[in-house]
Amino acid sequence: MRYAQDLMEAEDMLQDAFIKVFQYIGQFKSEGSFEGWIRRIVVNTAIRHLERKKMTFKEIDEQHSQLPSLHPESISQLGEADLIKLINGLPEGYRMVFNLNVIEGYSHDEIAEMLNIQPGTSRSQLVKARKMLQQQIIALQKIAV
Amino acid sequence: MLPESFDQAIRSKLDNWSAPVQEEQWTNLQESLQWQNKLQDHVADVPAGMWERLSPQLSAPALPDADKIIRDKLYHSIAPVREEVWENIEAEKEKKRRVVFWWTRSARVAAALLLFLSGALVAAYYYMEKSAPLAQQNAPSAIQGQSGLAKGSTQAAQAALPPPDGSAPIQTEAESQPESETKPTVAGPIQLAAPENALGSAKVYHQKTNRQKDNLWGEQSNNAKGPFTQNAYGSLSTNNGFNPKGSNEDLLPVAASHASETDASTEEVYRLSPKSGWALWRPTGASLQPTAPLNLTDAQHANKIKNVVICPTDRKNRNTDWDLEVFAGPGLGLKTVSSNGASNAFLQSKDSAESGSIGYTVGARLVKPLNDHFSLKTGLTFTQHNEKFVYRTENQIKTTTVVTVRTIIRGPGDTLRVNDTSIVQQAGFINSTVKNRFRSIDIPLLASYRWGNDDFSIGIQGGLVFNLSSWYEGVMYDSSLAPVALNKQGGLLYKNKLGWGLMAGLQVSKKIGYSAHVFAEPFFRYHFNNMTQPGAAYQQKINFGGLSVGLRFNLNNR
Repeated sequence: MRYAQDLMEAEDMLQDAFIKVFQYIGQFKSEGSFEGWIRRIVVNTAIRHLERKKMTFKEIDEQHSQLPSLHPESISQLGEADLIKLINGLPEGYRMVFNLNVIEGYSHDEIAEMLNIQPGTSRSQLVKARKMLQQQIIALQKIAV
Repeated sequence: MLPESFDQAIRSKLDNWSAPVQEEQWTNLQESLQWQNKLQDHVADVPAGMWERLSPQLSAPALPDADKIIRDKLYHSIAPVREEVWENIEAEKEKKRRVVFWWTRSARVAAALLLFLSGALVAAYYYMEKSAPLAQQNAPSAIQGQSGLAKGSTQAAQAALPPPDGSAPIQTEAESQPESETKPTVAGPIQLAAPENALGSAKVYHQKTNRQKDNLWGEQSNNAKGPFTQNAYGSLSTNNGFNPKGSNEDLLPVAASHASETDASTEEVYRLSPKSGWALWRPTGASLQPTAPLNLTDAQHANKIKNVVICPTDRKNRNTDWDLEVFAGPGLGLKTVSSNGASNAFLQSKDSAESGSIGYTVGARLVKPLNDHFSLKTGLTFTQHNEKFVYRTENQIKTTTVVTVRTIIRGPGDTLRVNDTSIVQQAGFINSTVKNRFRSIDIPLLASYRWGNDDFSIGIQGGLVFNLSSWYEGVMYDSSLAPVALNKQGGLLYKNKLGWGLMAGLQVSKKIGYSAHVFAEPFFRYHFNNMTQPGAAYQQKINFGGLSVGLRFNLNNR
């Protein structure tokens, strides 16, 4: 759900990914964890899916004033569903890089290779993604207050 | 004065001269040195966020703890999956188990052509085998053909007809009789016989005739009450009194089983067919008299008799026909590219940007058959090869105004509505798809050889093709991988005349009218020369294969 726009797209990605898992299961060497192997296939499948949709890495230049800093406690108080909704609200390029770097743990060089972009683009997309997320979390806090 | 002497004189004068320095200048210099020493180790404070704005690559993660928290929350998060998804996965697994072997593009075309040819050959073979016995049955009726002929020659002619299954020649009833009873005669009334078991309710009629052993030109005997009467000169005339449907005192119905026991004077056996409108027909072989009884319906019987008369042509050695063929059909271009100095990156980009799609060919040909099998063809053909070209344009900017409205309810009756308006500029790239077209007009010079008959035939044809004109329209990459338009006049890269080529194909044709045939023609065209200019960075050739369907009309006034 973190990679897809909606449930239907997520199910398509999951279906394609598991078909590949069953197709290539004979090639799995028991050197790493099985979960990690499946996770890698699912992530790659999601990336191919989004590439077919012509995913673009846009630099969104937002004219906002300086934001107050965000305390990590605010993020702890957020639920999973809310967090996923916030991440899904990011533009495609931001969301993809954020998922791959922050959640999956790939380096910018690895992300650049997977997404066929420059490592610098990956870093800038991540910074922008973080900023946008912070803004959204702060906005949520204001509403809650 | 020499230049060197002049220089020496000036030098000697100014060597020890020094200009006066004002006292203030030394003071200013000392102050500057002091400031420099003071500021050497000074570092100014950088406002927060400035590094992010200036250099995103250099900034440290704003909130490393936040990343960790988010990761811990979401790494193992699980979302429910519907049952249908797993069922779809199972279904896909079953499908993937079937091994599908995808051929290359050219092999796919070749496989399709081969399949079509095999089917056509099998159909032709089956058709020819089936039509051979019918051709014998539908040979010109012996009624008129045999008038005036000697019995011996008649029987000899019939015996000369090969039986359909290649067995020994079929013996007529007369031949099967003992030789001593077989007497030659020219004229004689015709015996009518129709076996009941083969034709249902047809009746067998037997009429005795008197043989005129000595006088070949004698009058026919009396009591000839068959449908025809033959005079001394061999011509037939109908008997008005003959009524095959009713009783006739001169006609003796004979059971089919005794048909073979008729009088020895019986020489030619004709049968009446009520199912064919009481037409007379003469069985020529055993194929229509099966050993097992057959009860054919009207439709089955009608199907046994062809409605197209296939006449042997008189064009064995000299053919004066002229035909016109018009055809059209889809095709696929098979492109080959080789480097002539172009870089690998360029060739790879070109290859990934261009992909062939279905084209078509139309044309007309004049055909000169030299005999029943061999003919020459020439005409005009127009071919279009289509290609998709996908390219990317960078640095496209799209500006969007975003208005965000938030409603904050602080308490009963205390609602705050906040409108945030922002301008969002998106910079990215656009993928564009263009349809490239390669067109050519050619003159084919072909020779063809056909097997079969006028009704159905299969032939092979091949020959030379001369390109009159060709041109390319669309978009292509230049050396810097930027897309540039190429129009009809752009002959700098692609030639306008490609010269000679080869063409080969098959043709399966079927007669659909008196002077018209429909045909299908899989073909392949190969160019000897490249379509690019000799000095181009790469050499490219597009060969074309396809399937044309057309009509052939006979131009003679038959």
